[in-house]
Amino acid sequence: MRKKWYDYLWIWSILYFTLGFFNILFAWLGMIDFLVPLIFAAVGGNKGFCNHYCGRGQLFRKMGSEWKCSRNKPTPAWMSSRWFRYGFLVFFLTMFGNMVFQTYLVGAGAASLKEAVKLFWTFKIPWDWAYSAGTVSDWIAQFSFGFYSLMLTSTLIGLIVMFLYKPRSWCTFCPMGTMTQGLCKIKQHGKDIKQ
Amino acid sequence: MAFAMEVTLVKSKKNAIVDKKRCVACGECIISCRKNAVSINAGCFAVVDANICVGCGLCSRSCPVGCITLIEQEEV
Ligand code: SF4
Ligand code: SF4
Ligand code: SF4
Repeated sequence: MRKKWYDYLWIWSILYFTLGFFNILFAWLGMIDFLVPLIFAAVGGNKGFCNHYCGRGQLFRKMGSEWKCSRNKPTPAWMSSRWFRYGFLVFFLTMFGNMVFQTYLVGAGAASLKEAVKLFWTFKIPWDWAYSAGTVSDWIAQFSFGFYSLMLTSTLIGLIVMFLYKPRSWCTFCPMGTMTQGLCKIKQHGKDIKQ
Repeated sequence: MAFAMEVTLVKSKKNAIVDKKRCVACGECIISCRKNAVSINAGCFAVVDANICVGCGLCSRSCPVGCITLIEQEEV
């Protein structure tokens, strides 16, 4: 098959983390990866994002299949089971909500800006080189650090399961994947009822 | 003779079947299928076009869920 422009979106994934390494404010660009899949699902009722435009899925495929960084063993069944997928989605959204709340606290002056990236919701990594205080409002910077942490953590989890199991094992429980498929199913269910 | 050959060919042809209850609609099978035999039904699950599928098994090997199986076509 001939390569299309969107077959190179895996480069975007790498670029995103590189940009955020030098200037954390670029983390905001990750909102594209958050909103576009939902728009595809909610408006188009399809998983066009997962199926063609997701740079992260492509990166796992590239590294796992082409660069042979995956053991290519079956993904454990529980990992793609319904309770784990929805459980992880709820956990992920809770952590997202918590991050937004932290942003609010900083914006309201109730907490101070923390120039650090938190990995796996636990380990704090100083990241102060990527931001000079006062460039933008504190809350904008706080959201950047929080969002970047979320993106980096999920990519690291994805890389671990890519290595252990199939290249795209992450996609079996990726919160965006679960959410978009859920939306599509609701939409389809609605159509079935109308018919 | 030719007839007998044809029968064996049809009988040994395999087809990919997706367990739509487990499929996460990630689209990995679309990319791995060289025959363009797979599509995603309304973002819900993958469907294999049995007329195009040649039973090579590429999709089932790359499916992260492991929900694609190859079955003998005579059962269809
Ligand atoms: S499941 Fe997640 S990582 Fe995989 S293609 Fe979809 S959005 Fe991308
Ligand atoms: S690769 Fe597997 S889980 Fe993904 S869409 Fe195809 S059948 Fe479904
Ligand atoms: S078995 Fe081969 S031809 Fe059939 S759907 Fe899978 S990849 Fe395509």
